[in-house]
Amino acid sequence: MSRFSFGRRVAEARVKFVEDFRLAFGTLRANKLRSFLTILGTLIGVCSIIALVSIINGLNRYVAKEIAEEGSATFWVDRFGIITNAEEWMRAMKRRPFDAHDYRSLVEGSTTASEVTARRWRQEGVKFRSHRLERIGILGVTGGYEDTHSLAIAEGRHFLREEADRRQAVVVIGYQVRDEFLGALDPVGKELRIGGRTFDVVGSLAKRGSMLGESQDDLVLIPLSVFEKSFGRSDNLHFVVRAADSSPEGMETAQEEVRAIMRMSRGLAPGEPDDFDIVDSKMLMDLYRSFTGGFFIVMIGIVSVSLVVGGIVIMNIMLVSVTERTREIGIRKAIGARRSDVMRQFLVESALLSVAGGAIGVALGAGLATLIRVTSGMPVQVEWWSVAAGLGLACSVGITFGLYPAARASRLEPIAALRYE
Amino acid sequence: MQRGVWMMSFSMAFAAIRAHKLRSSLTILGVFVGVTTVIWMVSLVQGLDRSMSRQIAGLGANVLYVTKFDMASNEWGEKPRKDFTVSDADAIARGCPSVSAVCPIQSNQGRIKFRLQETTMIRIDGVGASFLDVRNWGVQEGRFFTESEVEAHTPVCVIGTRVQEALFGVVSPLDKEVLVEGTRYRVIGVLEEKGRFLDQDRDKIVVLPFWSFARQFDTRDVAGFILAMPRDGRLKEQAEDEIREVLRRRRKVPFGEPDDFAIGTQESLLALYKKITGAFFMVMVAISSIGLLVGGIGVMDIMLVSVTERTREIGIRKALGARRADILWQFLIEAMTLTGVGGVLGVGVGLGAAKLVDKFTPLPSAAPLWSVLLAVGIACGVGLVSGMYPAFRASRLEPIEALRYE
Repeated sequence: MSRFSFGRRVAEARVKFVEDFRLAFGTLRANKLRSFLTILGTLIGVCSIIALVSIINGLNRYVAKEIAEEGSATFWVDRFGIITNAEEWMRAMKRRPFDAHDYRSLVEGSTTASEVTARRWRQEGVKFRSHRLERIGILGVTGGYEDTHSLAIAEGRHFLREEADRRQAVVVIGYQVRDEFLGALDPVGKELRIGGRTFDVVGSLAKRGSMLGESQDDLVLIPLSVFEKSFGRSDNLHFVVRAADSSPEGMETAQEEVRAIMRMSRGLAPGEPDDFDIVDSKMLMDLYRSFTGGFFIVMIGIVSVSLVVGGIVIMNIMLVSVTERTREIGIRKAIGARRSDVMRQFLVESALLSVAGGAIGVALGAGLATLIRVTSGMPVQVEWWSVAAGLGLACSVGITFGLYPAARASRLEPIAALRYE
Repeated sequence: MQRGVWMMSFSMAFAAIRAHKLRSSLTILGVFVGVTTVIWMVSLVQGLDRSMSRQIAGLGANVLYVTKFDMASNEWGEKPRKDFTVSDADAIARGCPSVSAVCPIQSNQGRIKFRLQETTMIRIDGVGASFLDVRNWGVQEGRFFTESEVEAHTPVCVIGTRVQEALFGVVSPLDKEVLVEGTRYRVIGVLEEKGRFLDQDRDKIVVLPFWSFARQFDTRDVAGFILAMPRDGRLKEQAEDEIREVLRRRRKVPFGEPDDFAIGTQESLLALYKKITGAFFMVMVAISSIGLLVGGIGVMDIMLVSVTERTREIGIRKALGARRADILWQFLIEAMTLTGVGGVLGVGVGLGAAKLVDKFTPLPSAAPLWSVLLAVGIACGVGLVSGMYPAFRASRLEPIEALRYE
């Protein structure tokens, strides 16, 4: 008995619902322009949210990728570390620069690092025949640097540890240098002049693209020993360490060991603060997040305001709709429609308006995101949760703002409604 | 149109709005929310801009910054450059007739101690006697050190207000002996309060005579940077050229090579700031105006409904001799009144919100008159644009058809 009645109630509810939808569609079609404008509000709101979330996520992913490319198993040991204000900078400036002794201690003392690269850096003009490029990044690195850097070779090879040890003037050139000097020529075996010394090109790097508007291809790599002979010992020596075990625990152990070795090498007494910093890609990512997180939330909040305004538009139009159809409501009630029936009829209508807006908004937002990906090359991607959130928000906006007009319609007295002119 | 007709249009608009109170208030609410967001955002952006400009101006209206590297470029990290020395500053003072005051500055950090009180790490500057002139600063108590005190390595110092508060409280600091990183100095003056610049508290400072500083911190005659004040605001560019000339000669920069130093002004700082933040601010304001756009759509929607509802009324007006323009204006004015009211309310609340933010958070905010006028103007403009189509539709109705409309 109870099962039978339950089944019948489900069937009845389905019939009612189908009817509700048919009614709603009929009304929306009857006022095409009005419905379109009403939908437009939600549409713009949802579209902006989807596009914004996609762009923000794309930006985050882009930065994450760029940072991860620097290596998830490597970390930097630097005199400066992450500096966010002038005071930290002043403090770091007072630290003693790293020296060869620190490097030897790390190489000899560390058991958890698979490779330690020492680097120095400066900008200098590079010359090929009569052609000269200004402000090219000259990176002096120790042999074995290919293990601590993710630098793909396009032609030729990396320079070898032996070449670095023998202070041979060899150079691996970045994509941009190769492109501007040699065009389609094979770079291997060509001679470049850097700082008054002639270098043999042994290889060229694959294109790395630009990061935040800065080209990453305008560099050349030379052995650190040759760098020091040409340009002296600048005070920007720093180390890149690759942990043998790349798991988070392995990274932590390696960092702890490196910290201990560095403290010893630099003669720090127990209790004295470190006079160097260890930076890994996770810290960079955290830094980026802390800088941009709040700002992104504010942006999404501001965009959501437009969704609220869209809701207000829906409410307004639904109120108009209720007033216009007072007689219709009166007739429906007179032939037996209950309050809940009328209520549902109008709720379905407003929800339909907002969901339609939401769906088109999602589609347009996704299209906009794709357009940005294609034109800017940023890995903008539509997040499934943002689509779900957009649709859910649109639907709840429709229901929330449809509630009052629907309630008003359902409370109409049939007699009064029929008399309405 | 005569004035009477205008008056009539307005009174009709108000009557129509009053007749549908709920509907009108919801329409106004949409515009209101949009305008509030925009105004709030603009005030915030303006406030940040203005406080930045004021702070940069406070650095010294015309002063020239002579630095080793251009702050606005990424020359940092390029090959090391030769340090400036006190004799560079002297050469500028001697060789540049358009410069009235020159001051070499060298900086460090450290703690100041007075009896049992000790400050946190604060800025310690070693400067020349013309520091106050080039920094656009003054002393509120006591005096600044003189040229001869600088030359004589005199152990005296001038402290910022925050240092005074921390070490002395209400007691006069004058003639007291403090320890600057362990070395004894006699306090001879207190600087005027200067406030914060970015995240730096500029009153957390102690200023030492250049040579006393150099002896204590072993910086010899090296100056971190040099400040130069032009004789007159109009001579700024000339002063810049003269300094460039002197420094290129002293640093032996060959003819045709670029400078191996930089001369900056507060305008270049301001330009740098605008460059960094300009695009970001544009995005924020653009995003906040999406709400207003949606509000405008709401107005258009309601005006279309209004036109349909009042088809018979329009028919009657036309039958009685109203021209197209009359009908057009009637509905345009109605739309603009709706958005105008929303705009005015939005400006009010937006400004209020901005004031609250200004008061209770460190974010500054300011709304110049133009932005208020602009917001109300934009709100009315939104009404004009979104009312245009409905009004046009109303004005084109055939009187006969309209009268027959049920």
